Amino acid sequence: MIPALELRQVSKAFRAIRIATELDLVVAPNEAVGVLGPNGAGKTTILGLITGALSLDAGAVAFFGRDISRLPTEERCRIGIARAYQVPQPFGEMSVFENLMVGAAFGGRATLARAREKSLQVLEECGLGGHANTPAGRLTLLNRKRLELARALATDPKLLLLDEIAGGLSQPECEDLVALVRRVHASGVTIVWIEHVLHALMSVVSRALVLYQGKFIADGPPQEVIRDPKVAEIYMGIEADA
Amino acid sequence: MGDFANAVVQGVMVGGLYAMFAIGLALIFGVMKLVNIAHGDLIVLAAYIGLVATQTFALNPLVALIVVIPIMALVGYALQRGLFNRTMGADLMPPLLVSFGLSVIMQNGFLALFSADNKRLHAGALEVASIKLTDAISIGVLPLMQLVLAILVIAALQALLYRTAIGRAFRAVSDDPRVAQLMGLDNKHVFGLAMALSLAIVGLAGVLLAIRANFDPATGPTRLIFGFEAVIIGGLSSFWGTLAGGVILGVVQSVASTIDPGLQVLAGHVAFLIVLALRPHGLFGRPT
Repeated sequence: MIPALELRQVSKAFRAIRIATELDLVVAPNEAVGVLGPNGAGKTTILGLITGALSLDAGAVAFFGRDISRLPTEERCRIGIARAYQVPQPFGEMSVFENLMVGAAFGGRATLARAREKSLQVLEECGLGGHANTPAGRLTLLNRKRLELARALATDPKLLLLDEIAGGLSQPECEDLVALVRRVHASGVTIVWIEHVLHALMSVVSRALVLYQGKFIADGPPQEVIRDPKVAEIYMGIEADA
Repeated sequence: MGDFANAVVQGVMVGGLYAMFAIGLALIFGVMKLVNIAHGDLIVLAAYIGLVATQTFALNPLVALIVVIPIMALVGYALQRGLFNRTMGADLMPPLLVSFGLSVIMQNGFLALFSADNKRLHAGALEVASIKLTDAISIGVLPLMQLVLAILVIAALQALLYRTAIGRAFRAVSDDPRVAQLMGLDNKHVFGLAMALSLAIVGLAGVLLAIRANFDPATGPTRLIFGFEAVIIGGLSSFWGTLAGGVILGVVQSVASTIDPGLQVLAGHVAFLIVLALRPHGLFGRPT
């Protein structure tokens, strides 16, 4: 089967700091993968390499078998790669609905009528139905996070990249968001999720990877990965300064 | 009293023209934070294109707009993709300097091509046609047309920005170009379209200016200043504010010139400085 996402021998460094060293990753269609790792390990950078926000030093990124290493960010969005940021970054002056319309019309390449339909549907799915005309800058944190996810979904992605979207939420809010991600996954979308809130991540993903010093040092079912001694060591902070 | 009222009415109508200079500037600054110093010279370029078109095809200048506006839009798109996009980034300075250089090059280009002589577009009877309101006040048809066109252009632009997909693209790119890209927007293309739209408006403004007043290769910078002043007086929040800014500038100049014609330009600048000192965000702008 052609993988949804493939990183081949990907390397990236910021001066002396190596974020990725000949990194390989294969994600199957509709797989949900979690990426763990200590702060500063470069997890967010990996997402940037996939969306094209950052350029590769070496290696290649493939999306459903197509090498997209040289494709600009907007093209990658149009072929089905969407990303939700850790800190929601809505277009603050625009209404919630308009935020979705931008994603649906340009990222999703939909006609205006189809974009409107899609935006309304996503609005309801994400529990933002009552906020369609609210300026995005005035939403509460939970709703901003929902919008961040909704806007990514409006582009009709095949691959959804989530960057610590559960951080800063209360327990019920977090469960709410997790349920939403599960529904998205169930609809057939492939998910790569970076998350510090482990219980949120574990309830969605079937596979977890740990990024440390430019390499994936563990890869497997999440329950096994977090019990891995190497991983425990890192999370205890023993090697954190190394 | 009649003189004063007349001066106000005339000023309002000149203000329409200033607003038209200004909205192109405001649009570009709003969408891509580009301060286009060559804007005034682009107005003059539109006037010269109008001149060539009217002379070559023996057209009425208003008919020549059919040629001038699309040419200016194409010039805008090409200019943005070929030149300005290469200078855009976190720093506002490089595009500003490049547009300043472009301004100098354009002025010298006009001089080489068209000489330093004053030129004007002739619109026949329209130039002097007027509507008499009272004994003291009569309105020129041409200035009235400029004001009405300015209002129509602004209304159309507001509708475009808030009701269409491309308008949402402009606003999204303006808000956060990086995230806009992530939403599938090609920023370089969107910037190109914004500049095309800005210069299409410049095309209209340039031809109207050239019917109303003489122009020469060095006319651009003074038009640029009036445009800037109108934008800043009105504040950057809405194009209606820009229209109000243009009208205020026009009225102040016009009223001052009834006291002493020499005061006209100075009074406009003083009014601008007073607004800048008291309300740095403009009369209708919000602090950001």
